[in-house]
Amino acid sequence: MKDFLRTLKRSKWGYIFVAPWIIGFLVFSAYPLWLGIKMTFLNYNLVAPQSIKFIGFQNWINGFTDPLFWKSLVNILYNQAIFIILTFFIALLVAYLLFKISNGNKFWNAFFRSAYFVPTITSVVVVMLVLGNITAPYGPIQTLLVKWHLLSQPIVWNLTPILIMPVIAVITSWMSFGIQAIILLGGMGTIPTEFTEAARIDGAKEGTIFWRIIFPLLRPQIVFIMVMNAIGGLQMFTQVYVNFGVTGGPDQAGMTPVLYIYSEGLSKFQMGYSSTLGFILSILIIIATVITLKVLQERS
Amino acid sequence: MKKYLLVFSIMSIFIVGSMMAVTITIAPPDAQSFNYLQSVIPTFEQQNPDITVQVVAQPNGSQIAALVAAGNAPNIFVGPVSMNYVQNGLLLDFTKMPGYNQIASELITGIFPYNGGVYNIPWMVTTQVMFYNKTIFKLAGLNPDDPPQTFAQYLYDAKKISELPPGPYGKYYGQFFWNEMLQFSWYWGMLEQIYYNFNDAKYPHLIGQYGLSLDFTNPDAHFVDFLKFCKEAQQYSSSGMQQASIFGRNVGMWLQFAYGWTFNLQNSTGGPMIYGKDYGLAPIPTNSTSATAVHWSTLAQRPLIVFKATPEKDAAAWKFIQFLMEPQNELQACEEIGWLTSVKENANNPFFSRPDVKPYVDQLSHVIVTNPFDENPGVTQAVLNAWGQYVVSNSIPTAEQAFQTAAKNAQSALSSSGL
Amino acid sequence: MLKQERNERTRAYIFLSIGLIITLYPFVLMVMSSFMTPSQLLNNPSMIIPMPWTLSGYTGLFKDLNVLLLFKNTIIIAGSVTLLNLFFDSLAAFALAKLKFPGKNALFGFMLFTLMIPGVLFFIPTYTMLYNWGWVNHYRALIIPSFVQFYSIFLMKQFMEQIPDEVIEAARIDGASDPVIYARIMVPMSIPVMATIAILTFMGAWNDFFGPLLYLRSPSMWTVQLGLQMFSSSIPGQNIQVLWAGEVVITLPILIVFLFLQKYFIRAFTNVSFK
Repeated sequence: MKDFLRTLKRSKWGYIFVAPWIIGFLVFSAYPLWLGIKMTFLNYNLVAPQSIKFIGFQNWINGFTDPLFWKSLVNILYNQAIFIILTFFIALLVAYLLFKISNGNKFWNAFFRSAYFVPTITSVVVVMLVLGNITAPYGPIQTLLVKWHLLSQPIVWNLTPILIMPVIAVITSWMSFGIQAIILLGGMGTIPTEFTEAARIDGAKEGTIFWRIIFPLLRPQIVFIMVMNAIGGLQMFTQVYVNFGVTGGPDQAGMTPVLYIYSEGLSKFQMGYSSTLGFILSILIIIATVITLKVLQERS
Repeated sequence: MKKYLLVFSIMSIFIVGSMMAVTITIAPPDAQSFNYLQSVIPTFEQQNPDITVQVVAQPNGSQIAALVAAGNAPNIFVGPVSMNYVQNGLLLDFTKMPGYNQIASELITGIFPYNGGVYNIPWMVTTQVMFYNKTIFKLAGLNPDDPPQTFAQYLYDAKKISELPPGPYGKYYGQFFWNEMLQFSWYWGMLEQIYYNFNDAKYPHLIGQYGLSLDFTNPDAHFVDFLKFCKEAQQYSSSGMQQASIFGRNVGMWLQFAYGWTFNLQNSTGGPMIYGKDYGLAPIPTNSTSATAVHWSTLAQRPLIVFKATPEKDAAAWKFIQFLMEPQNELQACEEIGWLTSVKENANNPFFSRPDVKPYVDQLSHVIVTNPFDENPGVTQAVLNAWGQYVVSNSIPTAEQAFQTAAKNAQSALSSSGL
Repeated sequence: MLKQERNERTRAYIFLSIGLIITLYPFVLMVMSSFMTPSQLLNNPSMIIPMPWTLSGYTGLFKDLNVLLLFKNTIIIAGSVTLLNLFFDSLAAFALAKLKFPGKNALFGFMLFTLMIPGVLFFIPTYTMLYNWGWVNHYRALIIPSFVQFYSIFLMKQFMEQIPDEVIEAARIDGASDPVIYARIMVPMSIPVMATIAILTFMGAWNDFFGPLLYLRSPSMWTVQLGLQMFSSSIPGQNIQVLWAGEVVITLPILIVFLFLQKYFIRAFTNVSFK
């Protein structure tokens, strides 16, 4: 008992430092969370609260057997498969290039870093508008592709179910590689220069230095990026909402799980069902995160 | 005794007065309405000292749900909201308010009812006519004072125009569809007026009267003919506004020219376009060859709706609506905000008799009042998607197939709406 | 500097320069559009070069929209959120990364879990709660609920874990208590990640549109995103040059914040010395 108290006393600062965060969580997250869990067992109509009824696990059964919900999951996995790989390698390349020039001229260093961060700070509204125009049937990209005979005729990707997720993945990639690059760049900056110097003196080539020394030491940043991809990516919402509204586009090819949850809850006012879907999604995200962590810890 | 009586009377006046002081909020959709409201509210508050009106930012469609749940929805909302709010009894039924009959009788067109009640007052309205470029007509050998009256003539004229060699503004297009907007369900409001004229407005709405079945699937609605027409018209059209539009002076005709677009004519390539000289307006063609055929268009509205709160607030909101609908106020709103008047008295006003505005006012005698509430975006989207895939991207080969696809997807959207 | 290194660096400059086309195109288009006449915006927006150039977008912006007030409001909100986060998040990250206390891992796991619940579910209960507290139409509704963010704590934790334990042990032996270690060691050594978090948090708060739309009723309290959106017209084409000018103007502060903070990046990197 005395040992326990002593441990607690020594950990005092640990608890104090995390306390603000815990308090914030309890106040702003725990209560809505608790409400949400309760709602999953009700058929709560948001605008007709007097008609609340307890329906047990009915919402959960409906959720697990809802074909549109599973379709939205397939959609988001399709989207994320492309997005995660594309963005990560672009970010890695950009971070490395920025790292290579970080010893050089200070002005150009600042310029290039800022320039490559610009896509991230451009507002989503402007991005969707401009990139929407660029990728339109007679926009610059498709005109070039047709001229180079890579495309037989311009495509309206907004109306072609199979192209919707890939194009949105590319657009999101454009918006997000900047953040990932900055994080990786931050990681590269903490690698002691002695390691790379030594390797260079030993005559190692650039590729070897990168993959054998730099890349493995970026592990903490990579873990962070991949976990956040697993968590955040599966919750993609804004891009599809701005583009298609709550209907999810042709054949619901643009429907993501969160868009579906949003439409069930806030358009159809079915709060009980929408909460249930939210929790089912959370469970799936947990599974995805655990898998991601396990895979990344394996490599040593 | 007298002193206590005096104090008591003063206190009661204050208490009763403060009980009667009511604050209501109104949420307009854009900057012009916002500014207009700010300018007229002082007049209203002077006439009604116990009411304060506050203009607030219009919440996003789904945020309304959060506001309603908390009890903080705006009292007056300008613009469409989801049908769900009507069906769940959250909106004020204006037929129950005193003075309703007078307002209703002053309107040019009827109001879209729901279940025997009326839940929106059309503050301002708009409709579409056909825009055609007279200069291009002359170039193509077409009579600039004889715009096409049937769809067959329309296609003939569009074809002739698109065969012209390129001019000072580039390649000529016979007509135009704003295809970039196909991904948004509101865009059906810009195509349905064409569809009306394929069935003499007998089947104007996609969804039937009771919201339980689809109307456009009826063979007499001629939906397939409508699709075929659009497909052929698209041949003579640019891919969208990015490529070419009427404002570039190289597009011959446009069937989606609502009143609000008039402003943009000032920004046309090479200077503002002049009515009568550069362009003309005519009713949308129809598929009937009869000389007495009616040319239909939609009546799109700026509806005023009220979220029910307390009886005092509802009464105050209604008072403000009546104020806004007074002819001179409504006229000022139309002038500042750029919509057509919904009030009979204003239709004869010189402002609406101008030659480039009169065609719209005349068209108001042949409009179909559309549902001002978002009924089922899934159904609309299904129709738009099929239209787009057949007419624009060629991924559905025949009109019949496009019709089947639209019908199938619309039906499943309807069934899953959980009514 | 070895010749090989210099070659690698030159190559990097070349690739980065080529990549600028893709990276900056939308931004450049946005800036160019803000100088275009309404006629060009309607008919030839993708021409990139304004012909003719005009400042009507910018004059309209400052005349019709009270831009300075919008900026002031947004800076208050975004600045507060950023400062609060920098302080509280780094404290929690330090505790998670370097301090030992029972239940630490469970706590971290549980908090990670909360990120996995879609924010949509919190939206309505949170609004009802804040409305009942009377926080609607006050800045605090946008500041207090966001004063800590797990995303930032997670990133800082990853970074702080790399700081060698020996440094901390040495300080402990010298008798430093945890708060002193935090202030004297952790914070100075975490400048790169704190700069990153500052940028991301500020940007998130600056670009937030839905929050202000929901919680800020009076126009005098509106933020830049909200003010710009509310300024848009339902008539397509009206005021469009003002909107583009507006988009440019509201992107500038973030660019400035980034330019300013990434100086600390460089300084931190050149000072890093792990022995």
